[in-house]
Amino acid sequence: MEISRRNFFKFGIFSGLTSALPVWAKKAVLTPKEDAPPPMGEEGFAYTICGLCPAGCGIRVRKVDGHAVGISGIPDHPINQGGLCPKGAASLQELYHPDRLRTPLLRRGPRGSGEWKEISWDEALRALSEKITRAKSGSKIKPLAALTRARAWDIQGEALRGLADSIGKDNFFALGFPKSEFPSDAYERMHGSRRVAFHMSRAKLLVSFGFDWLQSYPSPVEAQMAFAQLRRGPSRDRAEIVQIEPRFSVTAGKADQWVPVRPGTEGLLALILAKQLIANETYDKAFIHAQSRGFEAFKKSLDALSLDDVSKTTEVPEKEIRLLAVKLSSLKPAAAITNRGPLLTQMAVHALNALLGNIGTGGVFSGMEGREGFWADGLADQSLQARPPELLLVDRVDPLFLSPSGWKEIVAKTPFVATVSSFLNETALSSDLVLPCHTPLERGHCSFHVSANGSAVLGAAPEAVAPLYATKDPGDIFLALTRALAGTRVPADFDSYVMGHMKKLRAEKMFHESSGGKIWREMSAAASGKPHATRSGKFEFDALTDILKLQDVKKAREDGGFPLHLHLYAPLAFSFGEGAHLPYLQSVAGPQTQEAWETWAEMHPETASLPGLSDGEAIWVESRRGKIKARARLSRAAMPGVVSLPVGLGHAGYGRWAKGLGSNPLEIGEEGTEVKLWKA
Amino acid sequence: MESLTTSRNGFLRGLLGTLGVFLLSGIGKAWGTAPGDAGHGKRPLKPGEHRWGMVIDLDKCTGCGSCVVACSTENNLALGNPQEAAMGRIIRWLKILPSQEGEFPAPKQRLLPMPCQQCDTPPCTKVCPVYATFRNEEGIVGQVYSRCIGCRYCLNACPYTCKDFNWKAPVWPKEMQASFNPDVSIRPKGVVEKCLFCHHRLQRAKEEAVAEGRPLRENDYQPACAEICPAKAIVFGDLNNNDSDAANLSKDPRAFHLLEELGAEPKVTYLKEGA
Amino acid sequence: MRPRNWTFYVQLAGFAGFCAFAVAANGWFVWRAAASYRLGDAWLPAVVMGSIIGPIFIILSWIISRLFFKIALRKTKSGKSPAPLEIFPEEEVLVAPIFEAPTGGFLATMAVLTCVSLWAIFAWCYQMYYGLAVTGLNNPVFWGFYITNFVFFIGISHAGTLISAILRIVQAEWRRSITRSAEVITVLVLVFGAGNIILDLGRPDRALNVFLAGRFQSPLMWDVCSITTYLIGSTLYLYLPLIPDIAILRDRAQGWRKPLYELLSLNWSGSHEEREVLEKCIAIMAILVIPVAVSVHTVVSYVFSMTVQPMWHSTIFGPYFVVGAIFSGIAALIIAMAVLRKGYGLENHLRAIHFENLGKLLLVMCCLWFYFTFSEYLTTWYGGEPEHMVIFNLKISGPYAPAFWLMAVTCFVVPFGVLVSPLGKTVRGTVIASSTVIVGMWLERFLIVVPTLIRPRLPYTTGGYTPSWVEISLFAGCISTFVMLYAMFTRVFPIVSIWEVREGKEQAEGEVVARIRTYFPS
Repeated sequence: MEISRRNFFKFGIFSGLTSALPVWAKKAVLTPKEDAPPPMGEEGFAYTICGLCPAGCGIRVRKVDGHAVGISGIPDHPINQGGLCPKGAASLQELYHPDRLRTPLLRRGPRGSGEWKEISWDEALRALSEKITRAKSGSKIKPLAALTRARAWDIQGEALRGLADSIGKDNFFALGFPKSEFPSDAYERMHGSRRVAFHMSRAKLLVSFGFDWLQSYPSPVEAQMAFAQLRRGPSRDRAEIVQIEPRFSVTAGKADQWVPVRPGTEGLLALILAKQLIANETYDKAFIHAQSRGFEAFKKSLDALSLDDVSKTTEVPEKEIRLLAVKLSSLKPAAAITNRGPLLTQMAVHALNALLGNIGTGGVFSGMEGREGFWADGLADQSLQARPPELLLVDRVDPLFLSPSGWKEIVAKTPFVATVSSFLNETALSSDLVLPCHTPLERGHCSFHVSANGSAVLGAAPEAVAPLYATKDPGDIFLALTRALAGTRVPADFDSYVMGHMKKLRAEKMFHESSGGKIWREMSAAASGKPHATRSGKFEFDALTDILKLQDVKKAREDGGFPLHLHLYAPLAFSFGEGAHLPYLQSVAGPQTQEAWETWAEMHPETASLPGLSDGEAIWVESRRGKIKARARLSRAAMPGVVSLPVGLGHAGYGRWAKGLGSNPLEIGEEGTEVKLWKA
Repeated sequence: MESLTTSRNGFLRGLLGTLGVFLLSGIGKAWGTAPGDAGHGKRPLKPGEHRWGMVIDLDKCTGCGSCVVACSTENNLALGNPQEAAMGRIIRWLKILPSQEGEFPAPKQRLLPMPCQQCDTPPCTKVCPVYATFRNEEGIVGQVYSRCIGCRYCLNACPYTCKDFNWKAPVWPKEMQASFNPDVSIRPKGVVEKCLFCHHRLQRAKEEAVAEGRPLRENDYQPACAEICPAKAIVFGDLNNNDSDAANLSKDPRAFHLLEELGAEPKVTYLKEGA
Repeated sequence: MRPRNWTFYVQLAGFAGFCAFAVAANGWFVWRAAASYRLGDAWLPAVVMGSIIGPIFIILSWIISRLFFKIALRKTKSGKSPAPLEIFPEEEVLVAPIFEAPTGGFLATMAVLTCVSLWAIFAWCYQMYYGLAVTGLNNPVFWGFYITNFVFFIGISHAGTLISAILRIVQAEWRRSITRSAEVITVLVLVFGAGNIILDLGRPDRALNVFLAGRFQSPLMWDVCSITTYLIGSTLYLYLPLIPDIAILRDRAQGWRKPLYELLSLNWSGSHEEREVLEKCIAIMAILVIPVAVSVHTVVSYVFSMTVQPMWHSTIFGPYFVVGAIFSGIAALIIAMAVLRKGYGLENHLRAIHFENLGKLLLVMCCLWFYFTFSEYLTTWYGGEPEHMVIFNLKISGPYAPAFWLMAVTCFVVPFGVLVSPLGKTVRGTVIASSTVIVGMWLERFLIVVPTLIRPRLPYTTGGYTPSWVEISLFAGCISTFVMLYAMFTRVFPIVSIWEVREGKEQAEGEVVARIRTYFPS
């Protein structure tokens, strides 16, 4: 029994003694030691441009022992101010992706069979240049068509254009992603220029017609920054945001008002609002009188529209429309935006801006200096469908995924398709030759980046990490091909080619300065340009009036067994159709749903009740064009009669995390397509 | 029955002796500490002691998810796959919590980035049987992977459900192992993990400050999520420093805490939407 | 002095070992308290736990020392082994399972059970290799089958306490035939209860961290202490009344059984002094084991009620769980007794009156259980707090409604109905009631653990839980191994306490008559 007493005393002695220690000793004895951080290899930082999308954010890559281990934004970079979008933050996953292409591949079996022969670069370039030479001397009108992603000028695109120019004319195309583009077709017809500067943070009321801009802006970081400015900008005048969209999107959730509208009818709504503004005489008469042409004809063409009919067609209550018109005229400056959808919608929405008088120097919309670039101007689909080329060279874009309806046919009709890509995506799978290229972190950058408000920077930086595999800079590939075809007129290697252009831009020193983080140079301000480059020098209504005459408002609701409307949207994680190959992006693709690594079909429980679908059930979404599989997600916030599907999943390749996951709704239709649902 | 008497006496003597010893060693102090509190309770803090906290402005946040991706990259989070997603086993230390109210045509939505709330009186540390989770001197609730036995009691006790568990050993393709952040250990199977306010960055910042012979500055230490947010919605700093943005914003009229009524005293403050 | 053969040394080692263990246990609490203090954590809980558990171990050591010194080391006049003890004819049936070869039916059952157990061991290895990903657990349903089974098995362990200890203290003579079977249930099922915790751990290889780094603020540590104490206490409490029975068997035993009985019988000769010592030890244990048993299921309930989760954070969980435990314990005991009665032909010893009396106790516990359950759900519903109502609705009318209402039927409607009817006095009636109660009580544990986790306050993912084959296999394995071990016990030790029944038959009548006489005026 002594034992227990001893034990109690032992403890007592310990605590007694420690209480008697002086403070410094007590701290040493009683404070738990924190583990020292583990020893680390050599740490360094590389500054470069993200390159995953055309926005051009400045990124800082943390490197340890030569491996890239961390990504953050460059704090004072004018484009992103230290922030990054989720795709930029996930760049490391792309760089170190296990399914990256490592060597050139030559097709062995039939197209799409997935049978490849690994060949060397010499072989690949030789084979391709031979093919091009043969095509040039052949009988086809278009020996080569080059397709790249739509963006402002950069050195790789310059090299590709050089290659295309050396072979023929009108053979250089850029593929855009309409959901993330401004209504350039409307701008062209109404302003005379495809590019108009848009100063979002100047607006006190921002009305978006179907443009989920927080998720699908051309420059994602710019959108997030602009939103923060609109809400908590220095002016303390919190801007109001209205979202007119068929789906309760992320933007609609963050907006002050969501106006549910039937898919494809946003333009009609814009027109009736225009009519309301005109009828109430609350439009900017001064602007219309002095700076526009064709207003009277436009006004007349609106006579055919009645509030009642439009309300029924768009499924927006009359009262809402009236209130919205009042709101548009009371909060100034107000701006209406949309993305590059149907031409009528584009022009109708932009016409509102003219009526609201926010166009002009200092306005929400102003002129923009033309910037060199590879813009998605021409209708590549239609031109090439009519006259397929002998040889198609695809540069880091996936037309078979983004626009399957047109491009499947073009690819099928083109005898030889070569793709430059880092992954075996759809287009690469259907190609005859695949040339693996560096990911953006592995190559140098020399590029323009234009933001929506017209400000432009020249970005230049060397490669951030050494290339992991035997891939090449795309510019290097195009230059090598040009050299093989055009000989000595072309610089001997890509580096000197780049330096040559840097000299022309008077930016030779930028590569040296990049190690300190200064990888940009701001270019001249663009907003000084005249807002209208039309022949009249004024804002043109005629194109809109013309198209209105052909429009039949009271579209009878076609059923024919397809009672629902398809609404497509592009989550930020899958912007431009890219991103499904990175697991971290899958987690943030649908912030409004649960962690859903699948193509989910959002609908109201009412809509689901007719075909008897329950939440989480596998279903078929079928249109007249085809059907795809999805998973039903019932949400009481959804608009009845509408099925919303995200674009970005449904790849047949593109790495292990994207392959076979989900479905590509672009295969069965586009915005507004009629669909039906049934259990899988 | 002598031995019984002797033992009883001895036992009583021992008990009395213990009580005496308690009095000597300041039993009053012991009563003052709350369970789960790493001995800091409500005593006044010494100068220079930090208390790290975060303020997330929901009026600026757009739900883009950069913070989630940055956190995942910084902390070597397991990749995930569709099967795990279907089972709800994806590990993301920072989650964007969606909450919807109402229904068509006037629903309301909030997208709320939710890291570990780093409570000052954490419900999770109270229930850990092996001291694998604890609140350190600077307010960060830590997680000791090498001691965790995987009982998942802390996961159940957390009212915010912001801890994660490794149901299996994470699988990393060989190529991606090159991009591991060397400052953060890879967790084995069967242990709990959670947001640590990028504590490894604090350690490196302190190291640097010591090497350069200067005190730790406000922006020396920023977690990956605060650093990358394009809308600058996440503000991180020392709540004990009255000059820091985080401390000031946490007292903003728009400020609120999640599940405030439970008394966990989270150090992540949210600023509500609206004017 | 008794001869110093090998049994002496083993018994000495056992005694010394246990005392060392008791000392170590006390020292462990002191060490953990000091360590907590050093880490800046609160040290008082360790001291409080130590002050309760430490003395208990000291008392247990004292009892063991009494056994060793007063019984095992007992002086004999001639230095020879004690005289053989006789077995009466009506007691032959009690020793038959021990000395006769097992029947075909028994062997067939054991074969089946062995297969199930082996499959469960495979499932466990599979789980240890791949991790808990092989279960149906997920975020937010972090606990499922294993914790349910943990609570369920620990609950059943209350059978032994109630019957043996409480009935012994109130001097209910009908307890004599059934104490042994009850105590065996307790000892064996505790192993599986604690075992399910090991199954549930993400890192079972680190289970010893609980001892190396234990923190007493955590209810899981209270569990560890309480269950360990109860297990050791119950084992001792099973062993004490077993000593005379082993001595009775010692002389007839042959082969491997003989040395085992010689070792465990502690040289018992049945003398008056020995009887006195043993009765005293058993009486102390009976008093000691009751609060320990109550504490066991109380601290199991505290694991849930000490969190702030809706429908877990309830003040009545302590008594609710204890009542539920005793309820399921009696039911398990009735089933075990019925099986033994049929299997070994013990109709003469396990009589209808035993089942009737146990049935009455079962009925009382049934009503108590209903009372607690009703209070719990009424309080939740009346308060109407949204987060609680989500869980409430899941159980009453949501996906868990079938399980909930089945539980209500099997835990209350059927047992109550059967036990108040004339059927309740029969063996068959009580067995029917008990079977439904066992099923219902398992459902009750499940419905406490899982629905609260399905809908957390801030749900990032919507919870759902479907147990996988691993969890079901391990559950089946626990049951099969338990039954196997129980059956093996019955073949080594008598499942009815021979000497207590004999004592009852010889002396009880007189004692009871004398006692009753004191109730009434003279």
